Amino acid sequence: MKKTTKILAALVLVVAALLLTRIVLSSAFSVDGIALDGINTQLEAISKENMLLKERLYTASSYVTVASDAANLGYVEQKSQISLSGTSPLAIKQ
Amino acid sequence: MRWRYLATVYIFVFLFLAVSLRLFYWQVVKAEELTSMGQSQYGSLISIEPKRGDIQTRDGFPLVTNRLSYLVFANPKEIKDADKVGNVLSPLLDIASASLSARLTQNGFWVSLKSGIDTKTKDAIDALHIPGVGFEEDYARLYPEASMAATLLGFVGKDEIGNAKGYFGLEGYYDRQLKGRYGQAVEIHDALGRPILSQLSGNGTVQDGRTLVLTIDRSLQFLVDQKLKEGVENFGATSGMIGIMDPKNGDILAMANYPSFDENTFWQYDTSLYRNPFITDLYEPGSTIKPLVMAGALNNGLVKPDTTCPICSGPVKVGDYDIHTWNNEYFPNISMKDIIRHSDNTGMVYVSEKMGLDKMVSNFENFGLTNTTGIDLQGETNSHMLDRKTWYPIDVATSAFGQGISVTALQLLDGFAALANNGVRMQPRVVDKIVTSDGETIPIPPKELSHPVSSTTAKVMTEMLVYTVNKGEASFARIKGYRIAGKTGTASIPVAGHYDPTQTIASFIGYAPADNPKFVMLVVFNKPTASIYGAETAAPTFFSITRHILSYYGIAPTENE
Repeated sequence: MKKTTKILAALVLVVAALLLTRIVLSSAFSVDGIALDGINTQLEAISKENMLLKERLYTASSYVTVASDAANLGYVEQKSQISLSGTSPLAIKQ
Repeated sequence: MRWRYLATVYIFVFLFLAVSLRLFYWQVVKAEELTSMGQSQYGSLISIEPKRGDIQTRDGFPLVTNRLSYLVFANPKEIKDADKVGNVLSPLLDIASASLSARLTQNGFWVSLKSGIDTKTKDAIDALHIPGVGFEEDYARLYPEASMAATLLGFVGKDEIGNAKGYFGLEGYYDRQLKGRYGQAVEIHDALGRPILSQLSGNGTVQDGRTLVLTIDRSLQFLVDQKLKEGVENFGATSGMIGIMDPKNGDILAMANYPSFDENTFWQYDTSLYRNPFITDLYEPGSTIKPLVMAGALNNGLVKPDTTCPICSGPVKVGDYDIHTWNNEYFPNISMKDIIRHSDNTGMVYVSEKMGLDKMVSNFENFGLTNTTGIDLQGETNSHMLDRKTWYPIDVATSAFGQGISVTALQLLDGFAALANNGVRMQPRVVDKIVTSDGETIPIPPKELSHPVSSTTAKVMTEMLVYTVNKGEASFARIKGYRIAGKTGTASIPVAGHYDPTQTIASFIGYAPADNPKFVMLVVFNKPTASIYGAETAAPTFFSITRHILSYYGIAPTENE
């Protein structure tokens, strides 16, 4: 076999190998985009849900809501304050 | 032969240079223009709005955060029956069906129906599956505590090109921190010019706004909002304001004004309600200024607590004017501590005469009554103190009992706080730290402003103020078992060159516990009608709030009474 023919055959083989590699890699990566899109969509949905839950949580735990609910349930503000000032008389009858 | 060779070389060199020059022209000189032309063919530059930062109280609860909001739009070309769609959407969007129908019959591809709708409404419209109706996602401000501290927070509106912009209060002052950095991206279009939203690229430059963590205590703010509203309604005042500050570091713990507005619907309120009167409105402080003048005299060694007043047996003549006491009762040889206790104007004239013009003005300057405090809120007003050369003796005399000079409530609160902090005046501050979108915390440290009086003077003045609370006009309202320092104020309102005898600004300022103050508070009612006196309006409100605060901080009584 001539030297030129050998070189040409080698080149054809390299090209064929590269082409095959490209086909394999492309077909492997082609579905990754769909998976990535799915993850992004899921992430977006979770972020949105998280935001809505936060909104509900903040509104429900605000003093305005708690005070209003407490008033509706009949709780009233304690107007008087009891404090123990000075020493308590211990064993006073001894 | 050689000339042919040279000619060919020169021709090629010339052609090469010509091509290079042309390429330089297109690729360097006209690069920007051509790039934008290219972009306009396949897409358009759009700006990506960052998420605005939260505003949280010191316990980390957001007073302002973001909620998902939607813009409802329609493509009139796709709407078959505009009247029917208008009727269906009308109750959901709270817009008249005729108005909706008119918009849906416009000649165009895109009309806005309503912005700022919540998720529930969006889902309800979505469930109707109306062809040609779509949504654009956006963020709107959410106020979990409704209108709590509205004037302190400010609100978010739009600037001249339609971008979100903060106005008034914290939203205005910290707008650059809160709004973040806008990003830019190229929106790719398909062959028919329709946007392919999934092809957005280059949005890496968008940066969300920073979160403000305030010094505000949510519990105290809620309490103060409620008590202020009650006070204004009970005492028939036109308005009122309350500020509470930690004298040791200048932290504003609560600041409330009534009437106020709702940030969600700010456009429905009178614009005068947007500002925060506690920092923007000047008023004559009346007797609440007396402790600051007395402290100045004590600090200069001009009087002592038991120094007696030799001119206090009747009205005092200054120039062409007679100075009276507020109730026309006079106490000959009254001591300095009783001058404060009885809020004796003639006694304060005596103190002002001892001090003289220079010391009086310097004292006001030291207590910060001539400059803005530098609080981190938009719209703080500066008081206008007359030039020393233009003061008359009567001005010196009246300023000693709070007439003829104007201050903001914040200036007075900050000056008074120095007495509660061993004579050291701190800068009031509302933001404790800033948290970036990356989670980095930037602390804002407290700042000392001045030392108007010595620690000893501050302690002596505190004793005089405790004596005033226990024995003065407002003693009926005091809280037994606690040492509280305070002073009433009933300031006349200047109207057209004279003082209106029927209308006053009633106030009370004080701090507790007197020996180790946790807070200093100023309560102001504008034109109360139930009583014109601070002792009968502002003082009971002050003590009512103080009772709750002492309980909230778990401070036990120290006195046996």
